[in-house]
Amino acid sequence: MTATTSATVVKLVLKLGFIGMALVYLIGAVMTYLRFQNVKQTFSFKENKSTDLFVTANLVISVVVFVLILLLSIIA
Amino acid sequence: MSDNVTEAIKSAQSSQATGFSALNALKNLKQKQNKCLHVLPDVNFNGMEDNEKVVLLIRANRFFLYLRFLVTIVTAILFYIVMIFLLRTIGDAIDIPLGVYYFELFLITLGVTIFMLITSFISWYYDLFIISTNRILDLDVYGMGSASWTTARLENIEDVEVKNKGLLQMLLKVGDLYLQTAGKEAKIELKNINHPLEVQDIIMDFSQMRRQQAGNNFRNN
Repeated sequence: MTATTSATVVKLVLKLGFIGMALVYLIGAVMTYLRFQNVKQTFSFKENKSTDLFVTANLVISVVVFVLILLLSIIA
Repeated sequence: MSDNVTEAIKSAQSSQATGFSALNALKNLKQKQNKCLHVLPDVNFNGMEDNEKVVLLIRANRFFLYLRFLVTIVTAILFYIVMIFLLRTIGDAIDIPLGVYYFELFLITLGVTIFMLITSFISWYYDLFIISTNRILDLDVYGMGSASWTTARLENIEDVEVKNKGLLQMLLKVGDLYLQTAGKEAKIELKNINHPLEVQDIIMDFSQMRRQQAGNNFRNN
């Protein structure tokens, strides 16, 4: 295997690894968001708004991170 | 506010229950209440009965949430250091620019850390133990999307056990509460709660009151 081929393989493995990690992270955030919505229907809390904000922010951050990593991996 | 406590107890106490000391225990807890312990909280849940009132809402002591935060942050830092070391080793062995991958690693670590912190908070926040005038509810939300929901009628509570384990629980004055219900092997448990003995007292009193009510209803019929 030439040095160029190994560099390409390593790059591909790194890209796929990071995209995979970002995907797992995104799925986790979506599942948490859905579960939270489900739990929220069961209860009615006065303080629900702050937890709602946290879970929504979590989902937004995960989407942003996933998109950034996908773009960076494509560009690199 | 203690009038509210009296009112709630009176509405629940329609029978001639004897030795009912939950009122004092609730009044005491009302003075000590915080985010982990609410007396007569403004909470509703599905399936709540007309005459039912939530008397206590309990969460685990906040110290254990902060401990989880600390563990998460330390783990994230260790993960980042190990991954940086691995990337450098790869970069030394094969000549490829790693700048982008360092940035991607930073993004992933930061994102997952925020995710873990929020998930820990949500799990703690919804790890609830609710004592109403009719029943006890135990809600557990675990990390990524799992939840369990246990209910027991107060008249079916057979035994309430309080355990104080280890130095940390002793120093923080917290304990674990285990409820044994009639006809069920599964236990309801709540770990690391504040004022476990007062809560035990309240549950036993409410349970006794509900059993007396059930007995009276049976005799009247």
